[in-house]
Amino acid sequence: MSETIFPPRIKRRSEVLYHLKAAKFPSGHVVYPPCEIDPETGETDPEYIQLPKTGTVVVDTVQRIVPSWMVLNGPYHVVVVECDDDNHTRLMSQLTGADPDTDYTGWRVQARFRRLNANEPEGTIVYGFKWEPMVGPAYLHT
Amino acid sequence: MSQVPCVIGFGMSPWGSEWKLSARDLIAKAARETIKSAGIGMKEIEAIHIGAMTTGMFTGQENIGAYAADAMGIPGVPASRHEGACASASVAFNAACDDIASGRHKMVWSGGIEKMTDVSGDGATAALAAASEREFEADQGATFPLMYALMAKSHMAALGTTREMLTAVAVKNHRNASKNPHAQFQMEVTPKIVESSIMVADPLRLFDCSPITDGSAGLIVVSEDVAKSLGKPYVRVLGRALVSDQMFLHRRKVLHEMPGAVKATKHALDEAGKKITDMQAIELHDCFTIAELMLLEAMGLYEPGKAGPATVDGKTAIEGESPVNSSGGLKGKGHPVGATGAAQIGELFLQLTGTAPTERQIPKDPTVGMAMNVGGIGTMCGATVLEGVRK
Repeated sequence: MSETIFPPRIKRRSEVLYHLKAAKFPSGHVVYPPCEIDPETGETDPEYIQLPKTGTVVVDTVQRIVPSWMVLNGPYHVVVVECDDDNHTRLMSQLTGADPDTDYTGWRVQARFRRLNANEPEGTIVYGFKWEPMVGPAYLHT
Repeated sequence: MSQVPCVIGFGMSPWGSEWKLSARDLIAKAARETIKSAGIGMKEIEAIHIGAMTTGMFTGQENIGAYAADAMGIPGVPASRHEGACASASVAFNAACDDIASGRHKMVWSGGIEKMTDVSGDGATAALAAASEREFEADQGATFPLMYALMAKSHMAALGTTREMLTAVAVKNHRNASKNPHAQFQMEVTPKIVESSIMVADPLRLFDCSPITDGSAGLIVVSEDVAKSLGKPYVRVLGRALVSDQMFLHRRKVLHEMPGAVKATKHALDEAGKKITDMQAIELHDCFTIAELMLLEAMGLYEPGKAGPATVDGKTAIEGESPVNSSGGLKGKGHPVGATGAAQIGELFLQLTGTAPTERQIPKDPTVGMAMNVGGIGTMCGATVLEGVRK
């Protein structure tokens, strides 16, 4: 697996992964990750937008048998999150700062910039966003 | 005039951890069994269509069309490799049927191959992950067990599916596999074994997952005039459909539904002029226990949320009202990803012609059945409706 991620691949994804970049089509439909053609409507010519960095977990699971390229993380959550934009745009990502024995479905989360996995050939460290559960009094009204 | 494609023979290599057999050996063994079943000679095969998902990552071998022709001792015939993740053999089968329907060829070998144990379990997980959206799903840690786990959690939350229902799928399919001499796991399992197996991705445990398998399977596809001339039982391909769907799970409106399978079922049944309730035998893609329940609902055999209770009640058992996966399914028979679709159609060939081994022949002697072969998370769905012609 490790031989399949090279710096060009990391480079071309970095804007999307660093900034939660999405495509907004003329109809208003938002697609993540961004693309040239809306896979649902066939529309073209999107504008590129940044998704809000907060949302709600729609569904959550924990990978217990961890593949080598993710071994950095130990058992890890992957969640589908509905972002706080008008389109309720969904995306799939890891959860960070999470207890492996808690189900975070329905939790409020915020995007955090983190090292993504252990798959780092040629010294390139892969960064991107993960979601973090919003806990504590500071988040009661968010 | 368009010809009705017919299947006159089916064969499999051994399926399992076949360390002593190369991909070439597996193809040759499946091809030999296929021509024996059909009662033809290898040199009568006019073309080869073979499904292979990711032989490059599993073995380093590509150029699989020519490789298969060489393994079968018939270099010189047109030979092509088809890929549609775990539905690769269905893609190949459709190409073979097109060859027959168009009149281009009269006798074609259609099959599949995957040699999965030349890599570690970790390597196999990585190779299989190539069927997901590689850059944004697999690289985020989304393995296939994990994605089906997300679908399972969604199905459970929305429709009340329970652990007991998932377990019932595994127990049933292992019971069927125990009667299949070609199955990787010819053993029954108890609910306790399933429910105490190691957790892979919540809520899916090891015994909710299909195994890593080496194997090949083949079918001989011919025109109906050829089938009739041989004077042996055969199956007619009444309807078939290949449907693709969006790659990203998160873009699916309802995570636990498979729109591709819904469409493929409808197209294949419409072409066949049949209803889902006409199907007397079904082979479907139980890559994970939850997939069997999702597909039974996508195919319209059960309303959403009803496939689980039906399975617990024994309605999908061999002796039940709607027998599903009499072969043992992917769960018990094994899942060499590029070959699975051919073996599904092969099991229906046996059941619909009444030539399955007595111990697993569906007692109602079915004549019409359906195969549903799925690639990825339902991103490629192959549906095939077959009708047996018994002599």
